[in-house]
Order: sequence, then C-alpha cells, then structure tokens
Amino acid sequence: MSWSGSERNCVFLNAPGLRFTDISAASGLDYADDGRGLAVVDWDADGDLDLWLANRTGPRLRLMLNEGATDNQYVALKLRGTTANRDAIGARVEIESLDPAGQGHHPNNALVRTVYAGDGFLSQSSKWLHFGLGTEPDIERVTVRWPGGESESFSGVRPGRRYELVQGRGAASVVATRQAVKLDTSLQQQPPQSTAAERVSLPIRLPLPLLRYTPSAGGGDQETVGLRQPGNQGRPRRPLLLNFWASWCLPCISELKELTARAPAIDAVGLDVLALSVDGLDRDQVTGRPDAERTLSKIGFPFASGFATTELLEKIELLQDVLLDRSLPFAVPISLLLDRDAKLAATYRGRMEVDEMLRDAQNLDVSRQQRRMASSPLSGSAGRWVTPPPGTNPLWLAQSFNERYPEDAERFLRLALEDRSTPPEEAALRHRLAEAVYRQGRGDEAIAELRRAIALDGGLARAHKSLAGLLQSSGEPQEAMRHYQRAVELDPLDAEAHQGLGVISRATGHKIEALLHLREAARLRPDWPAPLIPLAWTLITQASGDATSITEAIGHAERAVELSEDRHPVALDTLAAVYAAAGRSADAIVTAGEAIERAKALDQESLAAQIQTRLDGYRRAQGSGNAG
Amino acid sequence: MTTAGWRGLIRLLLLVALLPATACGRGESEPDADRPHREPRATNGAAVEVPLDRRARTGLQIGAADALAALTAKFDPKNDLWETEVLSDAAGAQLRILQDFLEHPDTTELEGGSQLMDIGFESQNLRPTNLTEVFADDVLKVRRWDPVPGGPVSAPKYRGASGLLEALTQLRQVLKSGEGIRVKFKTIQVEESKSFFTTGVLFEASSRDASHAVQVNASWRCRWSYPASPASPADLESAPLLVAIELERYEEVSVHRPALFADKTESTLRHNASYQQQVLPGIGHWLGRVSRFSGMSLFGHHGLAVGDANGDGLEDIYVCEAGGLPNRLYMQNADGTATDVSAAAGVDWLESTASALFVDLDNDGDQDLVAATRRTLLVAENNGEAEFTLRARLPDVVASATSLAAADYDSDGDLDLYVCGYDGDPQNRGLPGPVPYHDADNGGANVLLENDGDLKFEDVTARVGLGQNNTRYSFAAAWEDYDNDGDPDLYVANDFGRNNLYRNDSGRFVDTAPEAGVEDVASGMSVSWGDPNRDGWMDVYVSNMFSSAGNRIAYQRTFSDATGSAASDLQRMARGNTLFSNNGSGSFRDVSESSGVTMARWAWASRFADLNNDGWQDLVVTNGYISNTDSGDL
Repeated sequence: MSWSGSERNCVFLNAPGLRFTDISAASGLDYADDGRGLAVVDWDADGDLDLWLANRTGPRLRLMLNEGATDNQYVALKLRGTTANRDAIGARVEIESLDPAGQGHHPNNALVRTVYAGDGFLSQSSKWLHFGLGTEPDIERVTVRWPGGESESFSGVRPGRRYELVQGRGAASVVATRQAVKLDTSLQQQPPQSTAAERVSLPIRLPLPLLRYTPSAGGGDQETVGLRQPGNQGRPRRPLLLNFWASWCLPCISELKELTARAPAIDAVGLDVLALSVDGLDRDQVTGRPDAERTLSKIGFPFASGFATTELLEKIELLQDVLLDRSLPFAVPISLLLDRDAKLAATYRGRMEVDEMLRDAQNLDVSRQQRRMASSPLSGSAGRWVTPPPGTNPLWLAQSFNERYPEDAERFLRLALEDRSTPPEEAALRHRLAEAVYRQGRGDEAIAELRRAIALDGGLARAHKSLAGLLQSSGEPQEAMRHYQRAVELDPLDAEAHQGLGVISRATGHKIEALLHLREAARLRPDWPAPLIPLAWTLITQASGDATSITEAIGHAERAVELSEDRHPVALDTLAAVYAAAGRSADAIVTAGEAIERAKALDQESLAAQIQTRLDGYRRAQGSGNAG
Repeated sequence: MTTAGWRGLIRLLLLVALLPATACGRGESEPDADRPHREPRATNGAAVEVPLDRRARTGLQIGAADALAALTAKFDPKNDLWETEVLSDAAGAQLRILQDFLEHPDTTELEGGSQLMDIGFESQNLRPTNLTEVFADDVLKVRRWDPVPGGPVSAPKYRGASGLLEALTQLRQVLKSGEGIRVKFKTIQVEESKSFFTTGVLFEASSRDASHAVQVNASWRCRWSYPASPASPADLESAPLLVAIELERYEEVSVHRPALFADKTESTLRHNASYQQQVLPGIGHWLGRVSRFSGMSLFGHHGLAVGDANGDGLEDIYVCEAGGLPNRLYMQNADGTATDVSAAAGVDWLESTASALFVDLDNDGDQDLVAATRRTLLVAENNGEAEFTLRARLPDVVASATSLAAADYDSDGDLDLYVCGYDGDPQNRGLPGPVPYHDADNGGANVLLENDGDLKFEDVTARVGLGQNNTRYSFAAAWEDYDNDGDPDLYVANDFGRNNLYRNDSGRFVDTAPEAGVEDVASGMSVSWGDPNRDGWMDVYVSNMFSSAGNRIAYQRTFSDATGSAASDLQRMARGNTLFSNNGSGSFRDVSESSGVTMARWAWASRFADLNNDGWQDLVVTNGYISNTDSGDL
C-alpha cells in the first residue's frame, strides 16, 4: 500500500461561488503523469487560458490548449510599471462591469487579479492578466493599484482584446492581435521504450571498496581488483574493464563474444579486461564454476577471468546505491570501467555498446571539466555547467558501507581525510572513522579518533556520547562521565546520553544525578526499556522502605518487561528484585524463576546463576518472613 | 524529500515494482548445446537480475524517528491492529466486479456476481432521475442530485441480483460512449457494527468519444455482511457480501467536446532534437543513466517558467531539468510552435534546477532569468534579444531549493526574491528526517534576497522578520496583499506540518498564520491566491495529499488511541487540499469541504484560473508522487 499511486490531475469548476465541481475527467487534463509544475498562459493568444504541465514521468511536458470555447468574452492586460517595478509584479487590477452572470451572488461584482511572479509549485505563470467576462460584458471601470499603493484608472478597455497599461498614462493601448495558431492535435506523444544498456559515466572518480575474487588461473587464492600483484610491479598500470557475467545469461555470452572479437581494439586503447563469473552465487545454484570455465574456453576468451564472491556482488549493489538515486538489485551483465588508479569512471548495466565503452576508456585521462561534460547521457556536448564540480564525497560511500563492510568504510574515510578542508569537516570524518574502526574491533583506535574529533570540534554531541560509552567500557568512568555531561549539555534531548550519564552516575555512587538523568531518558524515549532497568534498581537500592520509590520502581520494571523483547531475563530479574523490595516475595520468586528460564533459553548461564543467587535470597526472606 | 525515511519507502516501492520486469522470454541467440539447463532469462541487452544467495542482509534502512515509515507499517492490512483495513480491501475487491461490469458495455452479466451479493440486497437509484442543473454554458453542463437533509429517505427500489443489474445498467447508460469508459472506487471510510460493516466509497466514472465526454461523481455507502467465520482478520475465508448501496451524492458533468483541453505538445515541439531526447523520456529513464554526482534525483521536482524572453510579444517557456540534463528555453514562433534556443541563449545549464523565474530585475524592459539549482541561485541578465549573461551565482543560498517567488516587498521599485529551501542539509544523510512527522521543525531555512541594484542581492531574511518559524520543509511560497493594505504579504506552504502567513507591515513581517487561521497542518505542496468568490478579498488554496488509506485509518478509534493527540493532526493531513476564504478582517475561514475541493489526490502544483471565461476562477491541480509505470525502465 502506498500514499501515492498513479494519481491523476484534478480540475475543479467554480460553478459559481464557493461550490466547485470536479471536472477532472471531462477536462481532459486528468493525466497520471506524476504532474509537478503548472503554468497558466494564453499560449496562442486566442482569448482563453491554456496550460503547460511539467511532469516526472514521460512525456515531461504537455501543452494543453483550451478547446472549450464558449460565448464568454475576455480581456487581457499586460502592465508596465514606471516608478513601480517594470514588470508590475504585485499590481492589482479591478474591473467593474455589468455582467449579469455575477449578479445575485455577491455585492461586489468586480473582477480582481494580481500580477504574480512565481506561485503554485516550482512554477511561474504568465504575467498577462486574463479576465473572463461572461456573455454580455460591459466594462465600466478599470482600476490599477500599482505596487506601493497608488491607484490609477484606465480608459479605453473593451472586451475581446489585449492591452498594455503603462503606469501614469491613464489610457490603455491595444496590443496587435497575432495570427491565428493552428496546432495539430492528432499527433500524440509517445514516450520511447528503451532497452539499451544503462551507461552511467561519472563526473568524478569514485574510489572502490576492496573487491576480492578468485582468479581462474592460480591456486585458488583470492586477489583484490586494482591491487598490484607481486609479479606486476614493473608494468605501468592500465585501466581495467571489470565485467560480471553468468553462463546462463545470453546477453552476457554475446557480450563476451563481442569483447573477444574486439580484442585488438581493446588492446589498442591500453585496456585490460577481467571477466568475473557469478555462476553458483545465485540462490538456485543451477550452474557452477565448471560451466563458466567451459563457456569461456568455448568462446576462446582472451582476457583474464575469475569468479566473483557474494561479498563482492553485495559491494557492487552498495556502490550502485551510492551512484544512483534509485535502488537496483545486482544484475548481469554489468561492467565497471576503472581508471589507472583503479577508481570507478563508468558502469554499463545490460549489454554494453563496446564502441561507447572504448570511447570512455580513451577519455579516462581528460580534465575534470571535460570529464563532467563526458558524463552527459545525451549525444553530443549538450548543455553547460556553471557551478564548480562536486567533490567525490566519500562520506556517502562510507555511510553505505559502514554497517556491513567497515574496513571499506575506513578506507573511504581515510581517503576523505587526505583532502579535508576545515576542522569541523575533519572532526565529522574522524567521528565516523571511529565508528568504522570500532566495528572492526579496534576500540583503542576508536577512542583516539574520537578524542581527535572532539579536539577539532568541541560541539559534536554525538562524538562526546560515543567516546563516553567507549571510555565507560574500558574502565574509565570519571572521564566517561565528563563526556556524557558534555553530550547532555550540547543536546539535552538525547535520551541515550541521559541514559549513559544516569548509569555511570549510579555506578559511581551519584544517586541523585542517576535518578535525574534516567528519568529524563525515560521521559524522552518512553518506549525504550534501557533506562527503566537501572532506574528501578536505583530506586530500590537507595531508599529502602520509601513506599513512593518502591511504587515508582514497580511501574518502571513492569514497563521494562512489557517493552523488552520476549520478556528479557534482565528485565524480569529487575522486576523480581523490585517485588522483593516491596515485600511481595511470592511474586518475586515466580518472576525470578521465569527470569532464570529465559536466561537459560538464551544460553546466558552466568546471568541465570546470578539470578539464582538472588532467588535463593527471596526464598530465605520468605521463609524468615513466614517464620516471623 | 531526500531524507532517509522517504528513501526507504521509495526503495520499497521500487523493489516491488522491479520484480515482474525481470521475467523475460526466450533468448536472442541459439542456446548453446552444452549450456546448462536453465530458462534463458533475457530477450535483449537488458540486464538480468541475479537473486543473490546472501548472508542475512539487513533490511530497509528506515530511520527509527520516521513516523511515516511507522505509519506505513501500521497500514499493512495484515497487521491485525487494522481489521477494518482487511475488510476495506476485501470489500474493495468486490467492488471491482462492479467496475468491470461498468467498464465493459458489451457484458450483460455480473461476472462473479453470485459471490457478490447477499440475497436480501437492495439499493436506490444509482443514477437519480431528478437532477438539478447547477451549471450550464454552451459547452459544459453540470447536473446534481441533492438528498433533502432530514427529508424522507426514498424507499429501496431495486432488490436482489436482478435489481443490482438494473441499477448498474441505468448508470451505465450515462456512460454510453463506446470507448474510454473509466470507473474507479475509492474507499475512504469503514465502519463496523455488530451484524454488518459499512464502507464509504467515492465513485468516479467517465467516458469519452469523438464529440463529447461524461463524468459522474458520486458517493456511496455500501453495507456488507461479514465474511463467514474469519479465523483471523488477515485470513478471510470468504468475501463480504453486498447487502445494500445507499446513494449519498450524485453529480453528472457532460461536455459537448471530446474534452475541454487538447494535448498539442507534439505538434508544438517535435521539430526539436531535445523533444525526443528530453521531453519524451521520464525521470525513470534517467535514474539508471545519470549519477547522483550529476544531480539526478528520483523525485522529479523540476518546474517551469513562462515569459516573453525576446520581447516579441509571444510567450516563451523555460523548462527546468534534472541534474546532468540541460534546462531548455523554448521560444515561441508565430505559428504557435516553439524552438529550443537554450544553447544560443546561454541558459542550457546542467545543474539540477527546481524552479526559475522570468523577471525584469534591473528594470530595463527585458526579462532576466533566475534559476534555483539545488544550492546555488543563478541570475542571468537578458540583453533584450534572449541572449543571457550569467551575472550572479549565489552559492549556498539554501540547502535544497524548491520554489521561487518574486515581489517588491519594500515598495522601492525593484523586485526582490524569495527562495524556498526544503531539507536542512541533504548532504548529511544521517539526518533523522522530518521530526515530528505532522509538525516538523527541522527543515531548511528560506531566504529573502533584497535587490540592491546591478543584479546584486542581499540576504535580509532575519532583518525583516522572515526568520520566524523558518525551519520547515518549504515547497512553495506566493505573494499577495491579503489585507488590502498595499504591500505584498507572503504565504509559505510547508511539508510535514504547519504553514506560514507572513503579514507585511511596511517591510517588516510577522507570521500571523495561527491568528489568521491558515496554518493548515498537513503536507503543504503548493499555494495559489485568487478571488473565487469575487468579494475583492484574496483567498488562498493550498494543496496537500488526499489519502484514502489515511482517511480510513486516521478516523478509527484504535488509531486515535495508539497515536494520542497526534491523531487529529494526522486526520487533518489525510483530508486533502484546503481553501481558505478571506474574511476581510485579517482572518480566514476554512471552506474546503463545503466548497468541494479537498479530494485532489497526491497534489503538487495548484492554481486558480478562469478556464471558461465566465469570470469565476476555477482550479487546476497536478498530481502523482512516484509512479512505477515509467517509460524505458522498470
């Protein structure tokens, strides 16, 4: 289900007054084009309003001429300011007439229109003011209120014509009518269906993640695309076409055959080719490496070849996500054109045009500006760029890869750090770098990067929070507390920072602060169980016998159990302890029992043992209670 | 909308749409004899998807803070929280039987009708005979049936299967044209009671032939029996049966033309190479061919400007384009066709452009050109012959530009520019997205640039008071003197929440939207001023999204319970477009529902325009978010 759908344009007829009728279908304007812009203009100057529509889907433009000619008349006015702005934007014209159509509805029969420059959405309509006048118009008076407030009456305006009204002249001058326009309607727009390969030529060069594959020749050891092999040190680096294919994919095989046939031309531009088979990597696994090897030998494929890995293909998908503002599943054939530095210059999804690819390969060494022009999808050099080219923005890459491939994210961030410009930018990069190295298990490095980030930009609330968390787990509570405090100061609405500060305050014996921040965390994120557990513990350990605290603790612990996934043992353990503190030993025993079961179910034996110890305590308390 | 949550949602839509596209037939070349047995999966050069055998891959990255994503999840009918959604889907499927019957005039039986109706089915006339003509000119006629409020309910006239057939046949006679019959049911309300449930349905039907067109707008209340013994709401074993149809509203529009408007684009533009290259293919074509690093974007927010670029008295058009595709200036010829002169005019800019204005910024009698690219405002001077020189590149005016609107706010005789910005910073994809969804206040700031002469501009936003309430997701703005005090005021339409009405007090602005009653908490997309009631006070129309699902769900009690005080705001967001009528005393009243202009779908641009020259301003609204049926892809 979506909120959008293929929705059609709407038209409402004012019929008249403030009750409109939906005439969308009758109007002929109800296309489902993902309509965006709308400009109103009497394009053919025939006295009725036409429309230009700008759309997201093809056709991107529609000129809709008004064919609904009635007996109604019109007058059109173009204003020119002299002391007011020349376009007379903001000028308002009032036409008083004796049109019977307007009578009986409103005391004021005047027609009022204002000159605008930009309204609706992303659109500018004509600056001509258009007045529909009904069937029997009799214009009494035309008054212009110029921007700034000065009013002026104009004489000589008659229905059915077009006039220019110049500020200060008082008399309208007729604008010559143009010849009648005849545009053929029988011609309908036919958006093309394209099945050609999708070539994406980049205006920048993009660094690649580590793409590991298994070469066909060799002992099965993996190699990395673009990294020099030991034997190749002396050779100058060459650009590379990295092709992905499968033995079951017919376009792939045609493409490999064509590359084979064009080997001399490919060599002439100094291009290497590496074809990686994806056989065996799809879900069905009908084919495998032997199929790929057979196919290549049958073709007599003269270039290097090998086998891709699932990880490699996932990385290609992530790259596509960075490249394109749409999400595409991995598909074959797809080729990547890499420059001598093994940076990405172009991709071809679907069967490529080899000539086009060769042209791209020849142009790899052109200037940045030329590179940008070459990225045009239109044939010829259409258009001009008038702003500086964008940076590579490895941040996009880093963000895409961080979760699954932090080592690649780290590479991208280190590249970005090489051409960093301002301290805040460097700080942001180092903050992300800390995350990438932490995900690779290098906690100390992460702490060091966060310290550098904070030194560069003290205002990074999230960096303080991350650093505090790392310091806390590496046993430096005092410093962790300082950073949590700073994080809370910088972003008082961050529940996680309050939670961290609360926990650490509790651990260091600052119970008042602990309660304050844990409560704040719970208030800021009411659906989050994390602060509720330490909050409950703090309440029952600080004030034995305080009924209010116990009641509050029960509320928090019950809510924590409710919110925690599958009745988490820690939440249950907390609830048991709270029940015990409230003197509800029976409830405590039952709940602790469940907590132990849940802990064992999750293979958390040591937790189960801890809860068991507490459970024994509850039983003893119950026994002594009974005895007493 | 470049935020994470939106992207996640779109990604979901696109992935779903991609699935059928990969099913291909036989291959182009002979299958090799020793090729493994596997269905060849492509016919042409198009790439073939490889369903990867992945390790567990993390799912969609929808920001936790994104309320829309959360809402969408709640709207999944399989989620048993919304039993009514399951009922609505099941009833909707039944209505498609009626749709099929109405759309195919040669059929005489209701296909599958026996599983459609309860034995005791009854209905009134679905096409009343006593219609009142409420509008007529020599081209178009509107006839309307109004139930008398509180009057006697007419007795059901049609009973059983034959009755329904008869009632539908009468309706079908209205749509008698042989071809092009289109019928649509939109379920906008579901109510449950003990023994049956009721759906509120909008019925839209139209037909067209060479000489005229008919359109029917109606509202039905359909009463349904519950499906037999539903084990769970997500698992209906049988369909609900139609017990009764009650007509609530009926309106018939007839036109003595095939349509009021005719598409003349092809004959106007086809002699231009750029027409084939850029006008015909949709954004979907380019998404796989132009990278984000060139400024290509899924949403297709690219507008247009009309103006007379060369001063020959004919209107020309400037078309804003996606990044990597040149903007185009089409100059009108005497015969009404238009020729692409963008290269010679020097305005074939490749930067992703949201909007543009033709305005005489230096008061020299020709139309200069302003273009809002994503972050940079371009200002080009016209030499009077449509040759433009880029005079200013104002970088980082906003983070992601949307609409432009010019006015002389300080009445000093030159035009100033208001630039709307949407996101705070689209470069930073770590942003949480609009928060909270129904009242987001973390968008980008809009900017007022004062004209200092010689095509130089100064940011005066804060100085003049436009910095108030200025961090919303603004899509559009329009100037108008709503209080008739002689200076232009400014209405700003914001996505995800409340709008602004900045009253201009001699060059100082005050956001008076709450006092004026025009906050319109919804998904503001566009704004248009006009005087549709001809009282001399300018009224304002704001487009939003009308959501059938939103209407059905946001009014359910479960929904209100789950979302608390936000429920009424969310109900409001689903209502659709808004018309505010100016009281003339500094305040407005919401006349949207009584004037019948709310249901304008997923609206973008809207504008008042007197389409039939009767002196009463009509409304045009463009529509549609992201359709998957795009050319050349998917």
